[in-house]
Amino acid sequence: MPPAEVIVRHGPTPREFWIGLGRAFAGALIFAVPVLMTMEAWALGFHLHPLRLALLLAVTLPMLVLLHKYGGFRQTVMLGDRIADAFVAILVATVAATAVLFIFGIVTVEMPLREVIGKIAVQVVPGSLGASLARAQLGPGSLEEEQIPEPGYAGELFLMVVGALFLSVNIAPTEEVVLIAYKMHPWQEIALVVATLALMHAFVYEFEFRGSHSPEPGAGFLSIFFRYAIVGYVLVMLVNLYILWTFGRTDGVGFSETLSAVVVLSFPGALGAAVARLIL
Amino acid sequence: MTKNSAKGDKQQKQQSDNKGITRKPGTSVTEWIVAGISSVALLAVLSYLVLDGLSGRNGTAQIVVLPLEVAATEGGYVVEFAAANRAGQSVAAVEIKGELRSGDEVVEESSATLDYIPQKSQRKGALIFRRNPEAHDLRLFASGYSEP
Repeated sequence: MPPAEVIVRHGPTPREFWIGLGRAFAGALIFAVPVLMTMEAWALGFHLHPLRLALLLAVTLPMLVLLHKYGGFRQTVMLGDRIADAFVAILVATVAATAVLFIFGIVTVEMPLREVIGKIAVQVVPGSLGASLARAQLGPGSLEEEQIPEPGYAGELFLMVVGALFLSVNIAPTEEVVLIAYKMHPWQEIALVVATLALMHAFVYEFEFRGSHSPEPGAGFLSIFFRYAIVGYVLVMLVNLYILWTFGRTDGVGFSETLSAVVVLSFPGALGAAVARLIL
Repeated sequence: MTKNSAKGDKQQKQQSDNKGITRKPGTSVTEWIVAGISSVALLAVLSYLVLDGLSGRNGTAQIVVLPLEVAATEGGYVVEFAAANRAGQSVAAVEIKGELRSGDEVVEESSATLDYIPQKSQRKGALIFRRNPEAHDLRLFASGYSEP
């Protein structure tokens, strides 16, 4: 991890603050809208194990803090600022999800509190990720200068994991993931693993390392394949296993079908991981 | 396009400004260890899938339904059951039926549907009876399923 340069600056002006907040809301809505409009995600709100949901939220916070190092809705170099921004991202996501679910009539005042909290909490992960990514996605970069550090190897892997989460969390609640897993024969699963790896490597190697974004000029094909595509894919599988476990998709399921669901979910996950550096 | 070129400029600037931030193209031992562990994990997954593929999947499901617990509630007697699929094929829309018998006569029937039972996995559910199942002969069985 390269040492972060510490630049002392004045705080944001009120105008910058509102622009940042507005971007965060836009990001939260754009990223969370697929999950907000997924039936299974509403159901997850009440049948999800409360402790697993709590753990997911607890994991989200440090992830956002780390993510803000590489971008965010305002430029933050200091750790304290990044922690504050992570909380703002979670708040923005919660407010956005609550408002949308109320307007849709998915959440009503008569519902038990447990169900309301569950339904909203499920939306916080994609929403807060979206709020945090809003700068990279939507911002023209006028508020930010060149102080965002380039990630090291661990940082690149971290961004891959975030990229995977960004797509996986949207898709994991749906029943289609397990349904596809049940339909697939092991040979088709092998084909999917190989195709996913090939796509991932092509994206990482061709678009990022030979494109405009090469942190390692001159790195060879094999080196990139082993250190980014394979490591990235295994990380994506682990992240997806965790997400499926959180959403209760692994309970009482045999090893073979669990692996199958992980392989299926890793297809979008790996695509997200591979293009992470292009979109984050 | 402007964003990308801006990023590229930024990076080049950083590379020339600060040698500590730019990494050399070489690979550290840690990175190779991480790559090695990942390769082993990926090979393990692939070998498992190959073995699974070679073992072949049985065309018929074997569904075994076992009662777990009986609870008397205001809405009736709730019989929790676990339905296990012991074969290598996943099934959907599994109809679980329960009968209370006195001798040869069926005194009460009840049924529930499980969305999926994956291969070599189990799912839980419950049947509700108005009569006490412990006072009768309780039979639980799967009466049908569809392929997912």
